[in-house]
Amino acid sequence: MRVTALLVSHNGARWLPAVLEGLGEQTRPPDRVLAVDTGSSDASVDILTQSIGGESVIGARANTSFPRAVTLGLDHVPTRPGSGGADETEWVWLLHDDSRPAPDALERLLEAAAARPSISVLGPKLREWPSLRRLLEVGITMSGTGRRETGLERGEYDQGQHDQTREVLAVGSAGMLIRRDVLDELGGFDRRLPIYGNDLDLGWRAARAGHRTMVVPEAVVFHVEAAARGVRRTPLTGNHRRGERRAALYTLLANCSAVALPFLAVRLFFGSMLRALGLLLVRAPGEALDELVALASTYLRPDRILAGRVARRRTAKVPAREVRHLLAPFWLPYRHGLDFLSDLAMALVLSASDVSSARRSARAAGAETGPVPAEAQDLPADSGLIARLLRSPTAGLFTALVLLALVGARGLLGSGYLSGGALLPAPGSGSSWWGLYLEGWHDLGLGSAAPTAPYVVPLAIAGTVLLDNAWLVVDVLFLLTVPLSAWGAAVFLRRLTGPGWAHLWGAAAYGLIPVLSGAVAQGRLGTVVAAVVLPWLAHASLYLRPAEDSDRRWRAAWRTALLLALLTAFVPLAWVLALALAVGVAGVGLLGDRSAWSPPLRAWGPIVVALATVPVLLLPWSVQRLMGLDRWYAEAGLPARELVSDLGAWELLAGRATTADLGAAPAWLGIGIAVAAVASLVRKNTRPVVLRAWAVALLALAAAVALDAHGEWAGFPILLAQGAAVTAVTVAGTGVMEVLSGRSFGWRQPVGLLVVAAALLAPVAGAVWWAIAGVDGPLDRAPAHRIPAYMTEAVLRDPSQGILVVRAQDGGLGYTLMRSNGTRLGEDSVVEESQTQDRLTELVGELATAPTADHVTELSEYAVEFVYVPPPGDPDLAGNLDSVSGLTSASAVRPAARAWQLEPDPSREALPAPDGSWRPLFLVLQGLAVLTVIVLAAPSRRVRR
Amino acid sequence: MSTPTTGRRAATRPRRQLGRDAVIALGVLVVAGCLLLTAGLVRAEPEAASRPGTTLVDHVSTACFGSPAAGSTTAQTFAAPLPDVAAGGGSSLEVGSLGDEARPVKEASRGQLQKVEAPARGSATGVTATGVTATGSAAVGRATFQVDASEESASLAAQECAAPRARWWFTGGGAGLDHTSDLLLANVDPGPAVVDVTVHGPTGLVDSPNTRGITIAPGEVRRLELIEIAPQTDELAVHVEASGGRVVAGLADELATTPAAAPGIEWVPPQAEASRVVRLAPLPRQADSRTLVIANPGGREALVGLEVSGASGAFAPTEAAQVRVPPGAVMTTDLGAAIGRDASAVLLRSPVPITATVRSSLGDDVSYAAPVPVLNGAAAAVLADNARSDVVLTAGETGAMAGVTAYSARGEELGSKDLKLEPTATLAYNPPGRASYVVVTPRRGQVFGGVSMAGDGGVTQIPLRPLPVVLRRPAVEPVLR
Repeated sequence: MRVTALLVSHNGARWLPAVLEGLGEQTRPPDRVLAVDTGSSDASVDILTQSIGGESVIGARANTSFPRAVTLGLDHVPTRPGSGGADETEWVWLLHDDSRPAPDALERLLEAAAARPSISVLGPKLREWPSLRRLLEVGITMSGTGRRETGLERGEYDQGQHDQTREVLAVGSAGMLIRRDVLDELGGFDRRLPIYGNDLDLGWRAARAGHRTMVVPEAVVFHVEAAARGVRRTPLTGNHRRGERRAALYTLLANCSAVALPFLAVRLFFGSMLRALGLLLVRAPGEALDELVALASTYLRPDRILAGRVARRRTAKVPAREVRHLLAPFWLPYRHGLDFLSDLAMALVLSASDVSSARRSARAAGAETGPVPAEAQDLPADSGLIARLLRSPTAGLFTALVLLALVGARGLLGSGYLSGGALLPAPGSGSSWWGLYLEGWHDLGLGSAAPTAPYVVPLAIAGTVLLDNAWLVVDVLFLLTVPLSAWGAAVFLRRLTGPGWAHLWGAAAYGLIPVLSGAVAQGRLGTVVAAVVLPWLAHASLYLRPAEDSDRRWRAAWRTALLLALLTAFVPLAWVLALALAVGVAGVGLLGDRSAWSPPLRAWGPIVVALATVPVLLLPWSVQRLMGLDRWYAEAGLPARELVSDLGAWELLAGRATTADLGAAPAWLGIGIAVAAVASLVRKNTRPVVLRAWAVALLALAAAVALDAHGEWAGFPILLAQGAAVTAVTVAGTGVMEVLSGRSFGWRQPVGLLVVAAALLAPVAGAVWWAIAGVDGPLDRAPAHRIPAYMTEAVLRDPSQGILVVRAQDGGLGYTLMRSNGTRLGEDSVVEESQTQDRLTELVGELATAPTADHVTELSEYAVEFVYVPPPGDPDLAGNLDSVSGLTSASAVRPAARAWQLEPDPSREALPAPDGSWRPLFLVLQGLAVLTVIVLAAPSRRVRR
Repeated sequence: MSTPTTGRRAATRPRRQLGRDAVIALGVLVVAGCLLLTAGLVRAEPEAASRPGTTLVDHVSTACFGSPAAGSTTAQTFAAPLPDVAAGGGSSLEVGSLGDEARPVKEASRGQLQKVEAPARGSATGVTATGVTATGSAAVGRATFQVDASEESASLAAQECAAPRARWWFTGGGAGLDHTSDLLLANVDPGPAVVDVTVHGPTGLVDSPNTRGITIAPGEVRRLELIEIAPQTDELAVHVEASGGRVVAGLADELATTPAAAPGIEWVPPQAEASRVVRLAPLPRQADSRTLVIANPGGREALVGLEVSGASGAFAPTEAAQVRVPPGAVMTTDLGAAIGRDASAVLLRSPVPITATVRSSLGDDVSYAAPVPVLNGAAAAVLADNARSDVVLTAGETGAMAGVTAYSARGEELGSKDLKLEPTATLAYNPPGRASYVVVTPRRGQVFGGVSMAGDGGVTQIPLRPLPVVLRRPAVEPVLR
């Protein structure tokens, strides 16, 4: 057997001496050593010349590809007319300038070749250089998605576990021993694969040509994989990810069977798209772009694939199915996908990166400073999830609050829709919310092109997750608001105070606010959602401090933006308050320690981004609401001003958004927290944090007073103020008993104990009140509407019909122009903004006062078919409508209700023409913005190679 | 070397200084206190999206029933001369028998009394009704009455031509040998009306399944004889409730004061709703008998307190100061001894809603004191020819002032007087004999009353009700549910 070692080098001076040394140490030295240098600019040529002699070094231009270099080298090896005996077989041993063979590598390869004469290609076990112990490849194959499969775990140590001589699809070109005639027969490496993946392709082609490839683990070659790791840059390497992916796509498409080609082409296309999307979602936009570019450059040149396939058809001797067993099993990509998704889910759900990095730094700090900090102490031991949950006080609190919620909300269970007060019933399905949000023109009332409020989107997403059950979203929010709010508060407060019991008290006290303040009883969706979201927002914004590291700050900024946008969608006032807080922080930053806030761009960037992104995420509604100053203080849901009571100091102090007769708990139950909040200012060592909480509380109180003065619902500012008070108490209350017991006896001890007792009792008293009183307010479970079914069916059948519902309300009349079966949650945001209804309002007034036939005709031009007066009907109104010609009495079904049908055929003359064609553009922009922010907010993915 | 000093020893403990944090904390508390104080002080002004308004009446449609005694019906109609009503643009007046096409009549100028006659129409049921419809400015302050003076019997009857509505109460009807009543129902609207008629007698609600769901076609006039519903019952109260549409209802009453006498004819004045306070006015100065009739349509017994407002104020009569009315029943009480010859009115208070009237008889004729409202605007009444008329006004709990002006048929002002009324007192004003109608304008306080007429032909009373001038227009706003 004659062996020509062919070394291809390009700027490999770093490794070449070692490579040549290895070559020289071979126990079975090659018969001839040739080197092809592709235009190295370093000392490679000199090193080679010194080692193997100038005549054995073949120079080539810098842009010479690997296949071309191999061909060039082979041209210098004369083909001897072989006698056909095994001894006369001409072998070529390919080496890279970054691959050092072990001393016995060639000997082992040749031994294996001699033992199995049918083998044409042999490959060594590749180990990582310089670690020398990690396995890189022991034979390779390809999966259906084009992934290079080694069958190894990443960074697996070589302990002989893969030492099994076996037939494989291909071996890496570094250390590959191949029969010269086979190489010639196959036409060498495919020149369309200049750097990456040509070894896989060669193996595949060899297999199709009836040759066998074998990996010989006894032979070891150490490989740097300089090109694939981006260490080596040649004019041909380019972007290595792109190159690798392009090569993989080409290899698959060029080598697969003709039958599989169309299927594979489609699969690869969509698979690549999916991968790109997945990469985007894990914040790897560069990789996603590489994926797409590789796909485009491959698919836009079908001629290359065609040419490749033609060339392969010439050499193929065995059918494709005979090499299939060498390819990766079909399920492998799915397995990888599943692994990827589960990793991603774990990372996202647990915010693994943040938590673990926080813990790591805490642990590291603890190791240095002595006492182990709470965070690190509390690391979960290696125990099962159930055991951990059972032992977790947070889980215990959550469970207790869920049970309490079921007791407290007992009056709201049953069938029908949760509605009443400020809450409209949920639509029939979650997809209705999607429809409402996506369509540009809403055929509700007079018709409206107003942008749907963005709070419909999270509701729609939640509805989709809950299997299209929109009612369930509302039920979960209102019935489980206490445990959900407490959960977030526990996480936030624990971050502030560390483990112990204080954060559990704080979580319970905060969680009860939506119920005790009266927000639940009044059906205030905005406040209820705000209670759930606010702790998470506060938690995210904690990381905006300039002391945090840059990557974490930026991620926190995007996360804060996302959560603030979510909150602002339900409570637009939240953004304004956040803006005011940021201004306050800026003021303090400028007056105080300026060094912490420099350089300004870096220090303020994340905060500015967190605030400025919100209106972009909420386009185009934000332009109208926040920029247009149009009811920017109004929360999601109906204004329900009749339920807004004038708040006094007593209510504000106790965190009540309304008075006890309108659904709130008695104010005295909550005084304990106010007392404790004042007392929290006394403790010195926690005062800086407590003062910050107080600053937030003051701002919120000011907002609450302003809203109260205008007769508006002030649920959110009161929630914020109360939440800040709870935070102050929790921070100051951490370890307060130790502090008190450590003091010398004096007046402070009994007073302190009284304050602690008052604070502790406040949530307990609130919980007892809730358990006894239940939810006693306008919120109720009822049918979505009580309009006769024949009317709603007629209206649903023919959209040009409508029902004018007129009902008596505090001395006047309220009317609704119904186009479907009742106004549902989310639609209020559209109808409210609809064009001025002045003329219709006037018309209803005329119909109720002194109607004439002309009025009825005009009403029909608003596409009205029925007039319905639910009980208790106003007798004057009913009498007036009875007296006018053009209205025929119709069946009202319910006793004491009245209904009329209009004699003139309904037309749409008085209605505005549908518009709203610009909406899709905004939706696309908004979707992209949201996606981008989600990607930027996601935990950083360490790119591993 | 220092010398020891005598006297007080200086304090050795350093004085505690407030830290910067503590100062901020104090500031925080002060600001919080200020905010809470502000919250306690500010009061939100309720935002009124649309306030209820008023609009001038543009359309008045009334109907009068043909008298059982008279062959044709002559209505007297006028647009009361009101000081602040601008002469509007287009207006029209139409008169016609219900069911026939109404014919426009030339509209007299404001203040002129117009006698309009609808051609008698051969009705299958033998009842007719005259519709008077005024639109535009002619509708403002429009009042229409019908005074029937029977030639056969000495009886004077007056009827206020009413606008259609859904609910009517008549208390004082009967279905006995000497006392019979017919309920007349007319539909002046373009759509059909469906009415339920319920009748209460002395023993409670009368079972009358046939009077439920009576459909009255547009333009139709229907007569229901109470004798067919509750035969041999002397005292009845009738409730008409339209479940769809509206009707004009009237209760024609014939009562023989003595078994041999010719029956006196009168229209029982209607009451819109049963109520807890019922003001009955006016009571004729002269009467042979006075009977208070009270109906209690509710399910609880009514303990009705009675007061009589006389010339010097209200008093509770020694007898009949309290009347017990069982649930659903109609009760009568003789008031003869309680009321003198002064102008007077009766005020009833009950814990449950009731309806009532006072039946007075003089000679062979009867008359009914109507349940009247407190006047919140000008009211008018026609005066019968050849009869002495008294405008009787009663003040509420506080004193009141009202202006009474008498007009001739041509609209000339014949006399005017401002009546100053002591609290709960009743005064009468006797208009000049030539006067054809009077207009009463409340100026101050609560005032209610009516016009009492007595002549050779009999007695009758016309209640004073506010004229249709403005309509209360409800506050209307779009709502989302």
